[in-house]
Amino acid sequence: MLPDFPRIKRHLIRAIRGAIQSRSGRDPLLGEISRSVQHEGDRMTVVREDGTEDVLDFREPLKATAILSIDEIREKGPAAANEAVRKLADDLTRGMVQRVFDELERATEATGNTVDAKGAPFSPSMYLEMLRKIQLTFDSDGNWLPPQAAASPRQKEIMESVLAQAESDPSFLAEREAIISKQRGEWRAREADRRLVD
Amino acid sequence: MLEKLIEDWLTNVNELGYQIPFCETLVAEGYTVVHVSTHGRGEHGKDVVARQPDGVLATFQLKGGDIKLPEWRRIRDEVAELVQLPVRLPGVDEAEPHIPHLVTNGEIRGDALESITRYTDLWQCQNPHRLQVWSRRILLKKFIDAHGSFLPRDLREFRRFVELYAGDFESPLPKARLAHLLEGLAGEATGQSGELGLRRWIAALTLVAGYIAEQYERVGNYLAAAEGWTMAAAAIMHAVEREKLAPSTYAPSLALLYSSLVRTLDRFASEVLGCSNLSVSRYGLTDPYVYGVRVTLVLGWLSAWALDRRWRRGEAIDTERLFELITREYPARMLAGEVDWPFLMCLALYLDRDWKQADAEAVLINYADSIIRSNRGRTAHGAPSPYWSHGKVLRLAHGMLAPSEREDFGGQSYTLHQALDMLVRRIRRQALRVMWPRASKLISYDFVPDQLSDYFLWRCKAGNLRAVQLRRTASWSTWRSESAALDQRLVPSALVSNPEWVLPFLLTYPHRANRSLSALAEAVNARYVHLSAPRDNSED
Repeated sequence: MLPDFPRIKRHLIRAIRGAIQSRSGRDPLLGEISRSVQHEGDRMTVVREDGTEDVLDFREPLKATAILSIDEIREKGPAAANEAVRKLADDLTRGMVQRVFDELERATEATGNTVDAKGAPFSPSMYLEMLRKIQLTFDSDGNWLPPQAAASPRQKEIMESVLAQAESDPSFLAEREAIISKQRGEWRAREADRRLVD
Repeated sequence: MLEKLIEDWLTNVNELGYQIPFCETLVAEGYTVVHVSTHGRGEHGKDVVARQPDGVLATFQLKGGDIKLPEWRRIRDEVAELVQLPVRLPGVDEAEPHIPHLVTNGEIRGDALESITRYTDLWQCQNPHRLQVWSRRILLKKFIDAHGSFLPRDLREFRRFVELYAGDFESPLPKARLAHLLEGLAGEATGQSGELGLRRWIAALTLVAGYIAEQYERVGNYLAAAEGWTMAAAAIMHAVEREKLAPSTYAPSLALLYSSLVRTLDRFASEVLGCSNLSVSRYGLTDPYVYGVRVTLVLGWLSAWALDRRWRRGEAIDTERLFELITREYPARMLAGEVDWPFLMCLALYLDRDWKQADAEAVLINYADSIIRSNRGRTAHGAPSPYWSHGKVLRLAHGMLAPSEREDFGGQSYTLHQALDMLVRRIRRQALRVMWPRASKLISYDFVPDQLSDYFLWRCKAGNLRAVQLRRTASWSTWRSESAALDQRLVPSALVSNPEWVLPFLLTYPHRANRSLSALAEAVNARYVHLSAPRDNSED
């Protein structure tokens, strides 16, 4: 047997796991999603308020592969492992983000909460249409919490530019405010419904 | 090597420490244990009374250490009582003869042997059965023989056993490690055939747990010892539930474990009720960081002890002193997380039973409110889940956890619903009405194993975590009727049949205090919940 340091390597594996989790936490999308750990069991059933259920059975874990060649180890030493960990973290993060989008697509197609741009460029009216389709969120004081959008860097630039221009359009502002007010009213009614009845 | 370990243990243990393992060796040899004295010296010098496989009554007085002549002279009158006086127990005729045994984990030294022989001859006039002396050599052989092939021999299991055996007994019990060891041994139950084989396996498992739990008790770490006894009972109940074992197979060992638990908790209660505070002087400057958590642990176990002693066994407790302690210390408790739930539930159950319903309800409201408040606001962190032990929560609080071990707890709760259920049963509608709007925003988590027997595992592979978004509008009348009954099919029958273990089990396995088992805790304390018999589907 060649000499080894299993205890140190176990410690390093734990640190690597932490580094991968930190990397996904820094992702602009994943960083906004809270993470809980299921300590036992082989599935989770999500039961919504309307009674519908979804079972998540964890049978297809996310996988990523990093390959360390002997030549790399000889040439780069610990840096070889660092590069491999970065690649693993990036691949896993991309995989998780893709899963989020896949799940969003599945859910929105099922409910019909989609806006088909039909190839047209992003516009203020498209944005308002999106706002009408989703359930807006408000803080406990009733202040609107604008939704987040996930887009490519180029698309992000376009959207920010279009929306900045729209801020000086009174009809856009009025329309947006109308949507928000309507939904705020619905939100207040829902919140008022949090009660104990006979 | 195993024999060396047992020999080492036998050398260092006192007579009370080897009492239960000794009884297990009797069980393994086919004896039926009739009585075990749990409070020091047994009546008429008899610490253990048992029937031999042939039905003949046998009595035992246990001693610790070598017996030399001065020691013999000191104990001679007690041994005379053992030999000469009849057995006085319900179901035993006082005229029935018995074989007396003097047992010690030491040796008979010097002139003591000659003197014992002479007195034995003398006493034979009054008892036709001669005094038997079992010293260390005989005892060691009995212990080693009793294990048979049931002790951990696989190297990994054996190493786990040794690590636990040589652990730090002043620290909390390493429950995950003990669970792995016991569950590994319990897996062998399926390989045993016949009632005798199963009884021997169960006796051996109890012995293994006893070697470890007794060492915690020896240093005065009573709660760790209580958890050890409970985990041994849980390993047995796992096999009982899984294999549908007959009571004759496991009841004697479970009864012995229960008597160990009773003895341990009696000592714990005696220590705590005699203190004016709950501080521990070791590293005293840091005690304030852990005092609040210690209060929760103490009040929970003390309440479970009181409920068992006063209302299950019908023995007296000093309720005034107990209430004084609760009133004094409760304000100092610190919410560690949802691991606190079974401890506070026990406290509420005790106060309720002792006619202090308002205090009981205050405990429940306080707990529910703490969970709700920990989830208030967009950046709320929530309370650590019941899978986070008190030790882990303290490590988190003091920067001792690696980043990869952190979790998000906000927006969810494993135990809030149980606290609200108890308030519903106590008709605290107004309190519920105030709390519900905020409580309904949380996702309610409830883990249910696929097999009822898996409730007794530390972690189980096959099971469903239900994450329920609560309805905004809750019906009081529906909630009242649902919370008043518990379908027996939802809980392990081993716990229903052995209700004395429900509270210790939930205190030792806090993550198992889900809605069903929390309702069971109420049902077995004869409060507010009735167990509904399983419906016979053939009637449809």
